[in-house]
Amino acid sequence: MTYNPNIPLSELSPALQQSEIQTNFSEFSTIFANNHTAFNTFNQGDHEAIIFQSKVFIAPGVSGNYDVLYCNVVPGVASNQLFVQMPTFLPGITNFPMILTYNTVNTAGPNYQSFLPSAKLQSNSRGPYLFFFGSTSNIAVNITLSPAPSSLLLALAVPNTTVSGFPSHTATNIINNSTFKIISDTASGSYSFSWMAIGLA
Amino acid sequence: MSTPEPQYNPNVPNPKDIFADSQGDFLTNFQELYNAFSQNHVALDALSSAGNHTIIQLLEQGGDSQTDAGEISVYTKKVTNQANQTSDQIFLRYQGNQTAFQFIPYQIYGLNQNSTQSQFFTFLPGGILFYFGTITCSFAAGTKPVPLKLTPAIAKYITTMNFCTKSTSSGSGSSPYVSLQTPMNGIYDTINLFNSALNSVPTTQTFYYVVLANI
Repeated sequence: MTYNPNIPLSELSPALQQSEIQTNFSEFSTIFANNHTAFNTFNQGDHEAIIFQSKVFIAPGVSGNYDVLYCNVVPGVASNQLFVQMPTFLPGITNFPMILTYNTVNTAGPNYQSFLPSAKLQSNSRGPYLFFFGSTSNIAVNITLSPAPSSLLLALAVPNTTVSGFPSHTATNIINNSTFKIISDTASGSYSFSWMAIGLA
Repeated sequence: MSTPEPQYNPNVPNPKDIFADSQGDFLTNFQELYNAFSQNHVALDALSSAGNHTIIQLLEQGGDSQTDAGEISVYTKKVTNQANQTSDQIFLRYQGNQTAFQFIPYQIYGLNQNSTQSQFFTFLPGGILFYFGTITCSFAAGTKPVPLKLTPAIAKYITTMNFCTKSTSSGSGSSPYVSLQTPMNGIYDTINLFNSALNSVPTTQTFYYVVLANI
């Protein structure tokens, strides 16, 4: 059974089209209940879930007073991601679509990971920003980030210490797109260091 | 006289209508249901996944959406207090009409990069702007501090800032001393970086930075 917007036909007796009309009412009710609270139930018409069916290769654009949410591909990222586009409001600035999500998080540690929105400035732009954070007591071992970002934009570290003045120098050295090293003037293992890093997916 | 556009009519057929006379009403309603539902949704006659969403257009609302128990509302509302610009931004409101907050607080765009500063920004829900990047500072004895300009300049309150030296070797420099420049028209757009007393001058250092601000 398929919904047919072109019935009933005028040349046929309505009596012969009863089943097609019933099919339309039935199909509409069934299809509407996909993502929405069904007819004849409390809060009918509300959304219960929102499944974005397919990627939208070209940003839908915004031509009025509304925002648009959709899913699309990000180069180099396996899963489609959720995008948003808002109306233009900054003079001279294009309302680029923004990539809101990434498909993994790490809340178990020790190297925690979440994500931050980024703009899709060009068709080949990567994103969103991957946000890593944690702590270590052994700076002799490099910090390895997973999932590996395509580029690592920054890494910060600060010592956790109760000793005034020590360590006096703490720095970070980005080795490659997924690894950085914490450098300090103290002997390894003397202090723990809190760190964060941001990269592009 | 122009022919009126067909419109969905929830009041047909009437009880006394002859069924054959309502053919046009049925047809109009089925077509209008089809056309209206095709907005933002996979079409009613699609071979699979009919009813799923293709995109979601959230039309600007005049106020905060009402939420009953168990509901979360996602909606768009106009915001006019950001650098005197106006836009429709996405809000969330949790069940029982809890305090609404901005889920998407600003438009992200690309910033100019140069030899002394790489700069990026993003946001956190609730109206927090997240500035980050690198800045290279050349400190000399007795010179002025190096300004770190925050772009876009819309920070009403700096909530936290972190700096860390970029280096490949130990003992090459300490994080800078910092101070906030007096806000202009209520906007903090500059952080002044000073050479740490632990570093001898002259010195050139590159720092990674993260700054969070209310907007």
